[in-house]
Amino acid sequence: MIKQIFGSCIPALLILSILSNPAAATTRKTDALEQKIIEISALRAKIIDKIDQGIEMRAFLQDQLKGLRDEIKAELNRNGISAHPAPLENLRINYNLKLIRHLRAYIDQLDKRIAYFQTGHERLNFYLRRIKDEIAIINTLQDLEIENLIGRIDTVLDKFIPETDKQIFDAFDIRLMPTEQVWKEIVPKPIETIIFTGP
Amino acid sequence: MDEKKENETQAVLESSADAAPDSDDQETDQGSESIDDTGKAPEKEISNRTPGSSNAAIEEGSESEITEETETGPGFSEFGATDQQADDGAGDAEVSEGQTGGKNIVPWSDEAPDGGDSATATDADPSIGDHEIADGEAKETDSFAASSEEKQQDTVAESAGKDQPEQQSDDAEAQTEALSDSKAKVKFKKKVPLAKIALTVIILAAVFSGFFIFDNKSNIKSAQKRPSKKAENAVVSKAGYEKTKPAIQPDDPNYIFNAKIKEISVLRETLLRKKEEIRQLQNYYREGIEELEKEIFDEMRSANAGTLLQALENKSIEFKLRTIQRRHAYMRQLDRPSDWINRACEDLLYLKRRAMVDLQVAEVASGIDMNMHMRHMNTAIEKYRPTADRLAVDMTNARLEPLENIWEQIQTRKFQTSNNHASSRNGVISEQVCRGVFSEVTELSEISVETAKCIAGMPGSDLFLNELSEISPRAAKYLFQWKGSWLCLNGLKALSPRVANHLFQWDGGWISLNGLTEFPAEIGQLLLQWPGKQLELMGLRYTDHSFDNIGIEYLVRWERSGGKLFVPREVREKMDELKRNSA
Repeated sequence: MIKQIFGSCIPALLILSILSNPAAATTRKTDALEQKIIEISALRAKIIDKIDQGIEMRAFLQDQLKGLRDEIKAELNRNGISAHPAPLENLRINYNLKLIRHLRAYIDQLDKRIAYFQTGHERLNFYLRRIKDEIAIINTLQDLEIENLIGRIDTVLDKFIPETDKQIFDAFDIRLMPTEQVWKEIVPKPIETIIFTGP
Repeated sequence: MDEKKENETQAVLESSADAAPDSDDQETDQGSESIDDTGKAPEKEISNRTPGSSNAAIEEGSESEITEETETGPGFSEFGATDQQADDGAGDAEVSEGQTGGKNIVPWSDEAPDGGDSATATDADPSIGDHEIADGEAKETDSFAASSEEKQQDTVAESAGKDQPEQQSDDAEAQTEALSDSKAKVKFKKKVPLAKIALTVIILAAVFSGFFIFDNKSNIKSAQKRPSKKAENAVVSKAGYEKTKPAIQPDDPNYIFNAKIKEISVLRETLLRKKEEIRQLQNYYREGIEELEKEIFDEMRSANAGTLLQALENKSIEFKLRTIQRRHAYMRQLDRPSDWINRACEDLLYLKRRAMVDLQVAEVASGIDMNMHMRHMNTAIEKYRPTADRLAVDMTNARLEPLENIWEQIQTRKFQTSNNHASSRNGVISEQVCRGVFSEVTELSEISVETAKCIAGMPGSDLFLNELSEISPRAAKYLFQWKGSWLCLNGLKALSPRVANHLFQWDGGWISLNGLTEFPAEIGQLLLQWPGKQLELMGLRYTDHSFDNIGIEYLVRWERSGGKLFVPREVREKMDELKRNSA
């Protein structure tokens, strides 16, 4: 009976005492922080990919946009159209303007999302630095309150991880610019003046 | 007949029980005599002391009691009390066995085999109560009786037999029966409470341990404090205990004081080391701040940010400013434990010097109270132990310097540095690399697209970029155009699919990625396109949930295609298992 009691309880006590010793507590804290470094690094890698993907897409859309603008200008030069209602009667110009509105909306969304991910990336870098700083303190002073930091990091991770699993932006959220505004940006100023302010 | 047996057994037990308190008395008396009488205590007696309560009492009280005795001489009262306790215990077999410690191990160890039997019996029928076991000798089987008889014979031969061999040979059987009857009674009476006590102690210990583990900071702190205290106490008490023995020798009366002074010195050295560690930590933060300031300066220059508001629009600059702000707070907070250690070191040094002086002077002067020094040193040792509690920094109440102040400091620094054309470490190395100087390329901790383009033209067969913790896909695209054979990127903690795509199109033969803890299937698929020879992934952490984190299947497939993989043992085992299953 006693042998059984001691046989089962002594190892349990040994394990408990090992876990409760200060070195183990310090190790647990640094391990928890190291784990957060891994989680943050993994998320940062995903975010970098998202940013890269966004930048790549933005460059592609900007190329497209430039092509459409050039085409409109070429069309205007070829047909000598200058007043606003008249170009819209030209189907090529009309459709190009519509396309440009969409492209601009996509680029705007991409800009916002790239900025969002860049902020996230910098914020995570900020936490990485902080974790490294706090590990240094724990190693020197054997202790530091880290629950608060870990809580904050978890909040940031919870916020960004679902974002990286989604597409960069949702086309449903885009807002199209008015055609006039697009026209203003494309057509050189003298023509714009003619169109909107009269002769 | 029963009465006779009981009397005989009682006599045997009493004789053994008496022997034990006597020995204990001898030890204690010897201890007291030795203090008084110049150390006639035989070494054997002292060394045979078990770390029981009496020892603990001696250890705890040794220094103060002994010194008191040396001065006033009435220290015997405590030892007298111990004797009294032991003497009182001698009258009662149960109590004396409990009190006499080491000597009474003999009857207890005799009981152990029987205890095993009785435990088996109890286990067989848990409904049997303690009283049933104690009173139910008649219910026990013949085999049990026979085995206990044999054991009792051994017991008699070992314990009682030594005192009365003739009596044993004459009436061995009767005595054995008597012993088995009466000892079994005593045994069962004692064993059950002992088991209960042991169980209670274990449960209490488990509850306390659980409490200390699962409570958060305060408990971790106290847990840290306690063992360190314990550890130091252990050292102190051990040392103290060892040193009390020579201290009672007449030829070295100052040994105990010297030992305490040495203890003070050791503590002071520990504190000085800790102070140095804190100073290094502050330096680490200071250097980090300087580097961040340079990075901010570089970014300001490229972003044309002249005011704080403009700078704060750039998130990279903002977070760097906040990191500087936090590090300033750390440095200020670290002043507190550093100051505490400084004060402690000075106090300890003063106490040590004063005690040493008085110890010397005491040889030629009277009226020097060395006990007072002992008390002061003991108090100081308790007070200045560098526990986690005493060194703790509380960042929750730390005052953060306004960002405006930090910004102004950088602005001031800007003028100094702009004249010297200084910039961040990474910036300097990048410039060197792009000028064709690759001597410090291994120290790069960040890599831009431009730098990657420059490194791509680096001559040589090995490229070590272990300080890099991440790389953008655009930089990766250029970096992995480098013509070499071994690429070391052990600082990368994670690999994104886009970076992996560029990496595994590299022409070289050997890649080290020992910082990666995960290698998901998505990356594994990309690995299959790499025709390289060796891949090191020694940092992979395989757990039960690693199925998603490590694409074992792809690693196996890549190895089958002719690559050589270096992975931890657990991963290798899983790979071998998969190979066997697929074969």
